[in-house]
Amino acid sequence: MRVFRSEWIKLSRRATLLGFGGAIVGFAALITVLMFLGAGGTDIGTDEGRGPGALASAATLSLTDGSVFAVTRVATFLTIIALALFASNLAGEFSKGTIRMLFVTEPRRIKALAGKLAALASFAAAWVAVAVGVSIALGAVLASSAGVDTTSWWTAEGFAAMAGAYASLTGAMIAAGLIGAALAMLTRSSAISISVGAAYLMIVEPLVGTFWETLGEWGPAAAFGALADGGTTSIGYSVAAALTIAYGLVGLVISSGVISRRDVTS
Amino acid sequence: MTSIETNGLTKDFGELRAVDDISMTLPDGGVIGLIGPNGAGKSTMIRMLLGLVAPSSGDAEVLGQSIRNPSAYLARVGALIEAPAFHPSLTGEENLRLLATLGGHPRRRISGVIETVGLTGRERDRYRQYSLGMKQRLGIAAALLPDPDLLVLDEPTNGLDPEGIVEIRQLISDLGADGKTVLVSSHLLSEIQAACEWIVMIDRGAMVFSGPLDDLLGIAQPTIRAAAEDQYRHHDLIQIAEGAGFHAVLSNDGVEIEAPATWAADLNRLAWHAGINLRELQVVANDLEGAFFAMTGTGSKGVGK
Repeated sequence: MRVFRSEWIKLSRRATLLGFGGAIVGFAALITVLMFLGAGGTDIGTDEGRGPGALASAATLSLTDGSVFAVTRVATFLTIIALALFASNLAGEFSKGTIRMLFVTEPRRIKALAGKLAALASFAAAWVAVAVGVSIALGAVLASSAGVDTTSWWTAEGFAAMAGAYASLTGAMIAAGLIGAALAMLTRSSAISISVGAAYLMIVEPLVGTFWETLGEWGPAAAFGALADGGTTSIGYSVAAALTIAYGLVGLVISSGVISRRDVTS
Repeated sequence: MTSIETNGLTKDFGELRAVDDISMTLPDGGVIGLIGPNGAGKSTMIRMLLGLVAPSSGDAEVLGQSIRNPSAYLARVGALIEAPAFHPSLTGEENLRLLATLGGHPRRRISGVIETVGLTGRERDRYRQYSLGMKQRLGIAAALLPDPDLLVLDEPTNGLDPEGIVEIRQLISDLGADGKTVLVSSHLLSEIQAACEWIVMIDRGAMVFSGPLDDLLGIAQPTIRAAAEDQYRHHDLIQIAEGAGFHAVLSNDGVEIEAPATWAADLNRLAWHAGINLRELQVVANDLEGAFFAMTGTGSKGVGK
C-alpha cells in the first residue's frame, strides 16, 4: 500500500496527468466528435454515414451500445498509451537510477512491483472512466444534430453496455500495460520498450496477421481490440477476455521474474 | 557489537571478480571510511550490503541480519549510493515525501532533514533545477529520513563547495558521535582522514586493510622533504639518502625521502659535510594518502571510488 501511495505522488504530476490523461480523454473526445458529426443514414454499419469519411451511421449509434461505440473504436490507441505509461514508468526507474532508492526503501521487490503496477493500473482505470464519461456526454450533446436517437442508451441494457465497455477497455489497457512493464524490465529503456511495443501492436501484428491468420486471431493486438469491441467475428468476447488475461499474466510473470533476480547495478 | 560483518563475500560479473573473498568485522557506532582506487569494488561491496546486488558466494550480516534478507534490516539503514537519483520533475520536498511514504517514515521528519542538510528555502524547487551540490544534499537528506542506525554514504561530498564539504563532514562526525554507524566511501582521502576512526581499504576487489585509522597511519613511513639551495645538488641528496639505506625521489623542486623523522638531523649534517646548503628541510607527517599509496602501490591517479 505504501508503494501504491508513493507512486501516486509521481502520477499526480501535472505533466503525467496532462500527458497521459489528456491523451486518453482527448483522443476519445476527438473520435466521438468526428463520429457524431459525420454520422447519418439509417442502416446499421460503420460505412453507411453521411459522407465517404463517416465512421458510423446514426442507426448504429442509436443502438444500446451506441453511447460507447466511439470510445471502443480507439482501443488500440488507448492500449498503446497504457503500454507507454507502464513502460516509461518502470524503465525510467532504471534510467534515472531511482530504482536504487526504491529497493533500498522497499527491499521486497515483488511487493514494490505489485504496488507500482497497481498504482499504474488504477491511474489507467481512472482515466478510462473519464474518457468513457466524456465520450458519452459528448455523444449525448451531439446526438440530436446527428440524428441519433439516444433513448436506448439510458435503458438497463444501455448502462450494461457502458459498464461492459469500461471494463473491457480497462482490462485491455492494463494487459497492454503489463506487456509494456515486461518490455521495460527486459530493456531498461523507455524508448526501446515503447517503440518495440507500439510497433508490434500497431504495425507488426496487423501486417503479419493479414498473411498469418493465427496471429491475426490470437495475437495480443487482436485480443485487446476484440475485447474492447465486445467480440468480433473471428474472436468471441470470452475468448478475447481469456487471451487478454493470459497476455497480461505473461507480462506480469516476466516482470516479476526479472525484477526479483536482477542485480541493480545502474 | 558489530555493525557489519562479512565472511568470504565475493561477487563475480561474468569473468570479472569485482569483490574477492572479503571478510571483515566493522564496529558499531562511529565513522568508518571505505577507500580504494577506481574500480576497486567499493560500490559493488556497498550494493551487496544494501541488497541491491546478490553475492556470488560468501555471506554478510548488517545490523545482525543476513544480507540474504535485506528487508530485515534496511528499515534501519539510510543510504546515498553513488550519484543521488531522484525524479527530476518533482520538487526536493516531493521527492522526500515520496520516499517517506514508501518507507513509512513520519512526514514531520522531512522538514527536519531538509534543515539538517541546509536546503531550507529551496525544497520547493524542482529537482532538475538543483545544482550538483544541492542534489547531493538532497541525497543525504533522503538517507537521513529513516533516522537510521547505519548510514551508508557513497561519495557524500561530491559537487559540494568547500563550505558544504565542511558542513557535511561535521554532520557525519556528529552522527558518528551520536552513536550511529556511518560508512563513508570517498575519493577525498583528506576528508576520510578528518572524519573517520576506522578504515577499510579495498584494492582490486580484495581487502588490504581494515582497522583503526591510527593503525593504518602507523604502517606508512613518514617522509622527509629536503630542497637544496642549488637545485643541481638534488641528485647528491638522493645519493646521500640511498647511501643511508632510504628510498628517495625527486619531487616538486626538492627531494622526498622515506625515512624516520629522527634522520632529518642526520641528513642536515651529511648535506653540510657534502657542501650542500639546504633551503628546506621538513618532516611530513603520516597521512592517509601516504598510507593508501603504501598499501595499494598506486600513484595519485589511482585514488577514486
